[in-house]
Amino acid sequence: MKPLLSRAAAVATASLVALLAATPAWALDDGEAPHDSTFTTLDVLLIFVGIPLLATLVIVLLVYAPHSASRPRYRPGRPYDGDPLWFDGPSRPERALESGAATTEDVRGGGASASW
Amino acid sequence: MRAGDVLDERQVELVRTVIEEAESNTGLIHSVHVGPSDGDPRVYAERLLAALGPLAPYATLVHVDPALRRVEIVTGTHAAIRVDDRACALAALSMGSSFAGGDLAGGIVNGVRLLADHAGPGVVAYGTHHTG
Repeated sequence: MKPLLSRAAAVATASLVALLAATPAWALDDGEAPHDSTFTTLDVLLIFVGIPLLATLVIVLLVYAPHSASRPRYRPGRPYDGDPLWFDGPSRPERALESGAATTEDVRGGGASASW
Repeated sequence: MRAGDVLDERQVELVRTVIEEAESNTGLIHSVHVGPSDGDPRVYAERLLAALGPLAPYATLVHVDPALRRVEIVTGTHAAIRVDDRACALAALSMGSSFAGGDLAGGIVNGVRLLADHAGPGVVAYGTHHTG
């Protein structure tokens, strides 16, 4: 939580400083008539807040969307909750396991194992 | 059979293709089981091998237990002549390191290919008729 807070503070400070640095731009020009301005507060908000927000959203989507789209993925340490998969196994695994139980010692010729 | 939550359809298809290739090249059965062990993983792997019935002597069986983080390879009596324990250990190690990185399909594919490469070319002893 703490790094998030300090990050938010940094972002807020940075944007505030940028805004303050731009205050001279708000000063009225000699030829400028304040009442004729067609640039309303809403326009300013849309341009300087709306567009950056939209851009941020698009970037976030581009970063996270492909990742969440490739959903089935094994992560070490997670419990396995899928059905067992048997490639080139018997067509009826349960029955085959039962009928094969008696002959365990006879079939094994060797092997190895590993953990990760 | 549902692909579970660890392999998508494309990966399942890839593993199938690689196993088919391995079988037609070596003449051995290359069976791969992914799922929880019923009891001790080694004993369970042997039970899985025995469940292949008449094909068991000609089979290598890879049992991957994602929850226990364990891979067991067992070879049938005839297959053990072609694929010795050192080849199995190498395949198991290779698979384990892929699995540790979260690459289940890649590990299986590499493991099966290693086993098949070690077995070398051979004649199909039994074909790939399924028992059960």
